[in-house]
Amino acid sequence: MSQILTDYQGRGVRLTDERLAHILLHPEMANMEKEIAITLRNPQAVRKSRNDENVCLNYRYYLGTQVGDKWLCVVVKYIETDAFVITAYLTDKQKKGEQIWP
Amino acid sequence: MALTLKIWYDKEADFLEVIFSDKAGYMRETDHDGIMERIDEEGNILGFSVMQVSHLSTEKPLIAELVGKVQGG
Repeated sequence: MSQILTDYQGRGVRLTDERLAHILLHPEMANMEKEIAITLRNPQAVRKSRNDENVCLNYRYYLGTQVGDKWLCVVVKYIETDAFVITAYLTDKQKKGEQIWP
Repeated sequence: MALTLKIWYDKEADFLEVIFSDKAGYMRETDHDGIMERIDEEGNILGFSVMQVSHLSTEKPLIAELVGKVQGG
């Protein structure tokens, strides 16, 4: 089963139950399901992965997470007829790579 | 002391994660763009992740330096 989230350009992005369960298993992510959707819809920055040109990294900064003030990164793969969340995690800084939004 | 590993692989996402500890933590980039280390707030390594696993070379090893502290080290 999957839920369909919406990205900052209005595109549908699949988040499978299996992926979500794995993401939420990390203790610091346990209560951040809503923030994953918010970050995808309203990122403060979107970067293209240098490792895979079809992958975008959506970032939004959150204060007071379980591990302090951190960026939430939602990693999405876009292919011709599909888009899906690969993973989501907290990180201390944005990865290098072309910023494509804003 | 024995170290328990948890290894997750998502075939569709082509994403691998290896977890040494279930503690809360965050991801930090390494010198390899496809590899991230997972560390706690004290800088101890809790695991690592690899993107695009199926694209790895069969002839050369994937090498990245994890700079976090090894727990107990």
